[in-house]
Amino acid sequence: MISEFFRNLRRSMALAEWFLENPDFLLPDEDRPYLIPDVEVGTTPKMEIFSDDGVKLYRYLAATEKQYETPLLIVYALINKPYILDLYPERSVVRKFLNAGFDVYLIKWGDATVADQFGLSEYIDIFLYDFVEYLKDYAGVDRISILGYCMGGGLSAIYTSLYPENVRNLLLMASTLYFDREVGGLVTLSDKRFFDPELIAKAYAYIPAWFLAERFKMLRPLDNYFTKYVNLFLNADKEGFIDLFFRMERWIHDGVNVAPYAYVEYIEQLYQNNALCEGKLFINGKRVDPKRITMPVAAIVGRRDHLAPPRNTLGFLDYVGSKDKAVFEADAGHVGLVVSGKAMKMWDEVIGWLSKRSGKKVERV
Amino acid sequence: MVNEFLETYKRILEFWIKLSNPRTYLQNITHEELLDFTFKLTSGVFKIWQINAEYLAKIYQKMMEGDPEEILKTQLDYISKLEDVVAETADSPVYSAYVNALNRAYINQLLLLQEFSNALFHSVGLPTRKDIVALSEAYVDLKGDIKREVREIKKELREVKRVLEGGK
Repeated sequence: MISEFFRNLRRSMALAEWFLENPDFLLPDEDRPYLIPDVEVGTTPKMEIFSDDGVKLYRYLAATEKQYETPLLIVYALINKPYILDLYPERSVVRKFLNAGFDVYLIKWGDATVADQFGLSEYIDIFLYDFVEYLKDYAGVDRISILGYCMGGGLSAIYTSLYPENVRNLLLMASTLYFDREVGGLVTLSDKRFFDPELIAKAYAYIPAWFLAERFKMLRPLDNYFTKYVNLFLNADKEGFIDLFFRMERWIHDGVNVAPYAYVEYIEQLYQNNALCEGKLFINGKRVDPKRITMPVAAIVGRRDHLAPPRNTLGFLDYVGSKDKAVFEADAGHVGLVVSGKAMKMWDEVIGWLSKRSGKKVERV
Repeated sequence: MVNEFLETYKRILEFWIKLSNPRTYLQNITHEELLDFTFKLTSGVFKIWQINAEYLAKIYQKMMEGDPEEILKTQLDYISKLEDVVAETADSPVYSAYVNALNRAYINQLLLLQEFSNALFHSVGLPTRKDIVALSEAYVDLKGDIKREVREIKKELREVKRVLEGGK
């Protein structure tokens, strides 16, 4: 009993010490009304090579002399910021790919404002299309590999269904693609009987970052609003725990606003009507047919993911035309999939799979 | 008089039933979903009792043993079990209906306020967010048109280049 008292004292001091060492905070604003510690994230060097309307294409600086001839494009979700894939050097999926000899690119969608009334058609047929074309020219290749994370997996799958000739390999990580009632989680919360996304879009003219953050938290209310802070205290004296905790806190609360039509269409077409799998989705009048995805496809899922449960991604594999399909699973949640130690081991297998399908290594400028 | 009383009593009863029935507030929720949620909620409460009892017994034992790592493990395990029970209960159409009903109520109030302020601003000739949105929509349309035209021109240029190179 007394030893626990002393341990609690040590925990309190560890927390106090952390705040003394990290006194800077990101100030709250109308879209992110949170006081977040300004911890360093996303440190892997990268350069901007193309941009359009606030959407940016980055190239990470190579870590090896030679790289696989097929570049890897990471398509992140319209929600939150992509630095979760590069949270800190020891737990960075981006660094893993770079160290394995991949030429890695990233699309950062940006923070939507009232001026960004874009829909899915614009994101797929203007931004993603143009960015892939630019990347192909830039890297001097005909096809690229795409890694889509979360909603970015949905965008990648839609793009690949429309333009399969540009994609050599498709990796779908914790992607929201298949929406049967049995999936639960966000699919239940977005049930069309109760949730009308157009109301939010009408009220704000974009989908505010706080709305999305709180909606995700409501799926596991006890841990997100209470017990994770208890966990923080209990683990405060563990080496590196507070650092990781506040890096994650920053990512959860430092989200981005989403363009209204894109969100409304994604919810109404995909979440509420499963239009992607059922081949009922149209982009600029073109039907999105998953059967056209005939290149190698890998699904990367976390068994404890409550935002994109494994079935959300794996269910889609039954609808694609590819014969070369692989599944990689880790005992992790949605975020743990890219930051936990257990998941890092799984990434070695993913890299092994992709290496075999990315051609030989060449020298790039 | 008695008849009036009975009529009123019946009406109060009907009103009370309406008021206390969750289906009054939660649109389109089915009877089965309500039953399922009630079952989940009840079993959730029992599970929490059970988890609490197990935790108390275990933590007492670990405290007696005095191993701090084991104490921490027991505490974390207890929290994780609690989280799972709550998350399982929350994964239900009834919970979704409640959350979305609250959300809808808030947004509708906000929209009412906005419509009022929009009308006020428009009446004195000032633009509002509605006008910015309309302009932005026009910009998005224009951007789409320009992209299509540019792609068409590029395609034709490639065709011309191909013909010229073929002619050499």
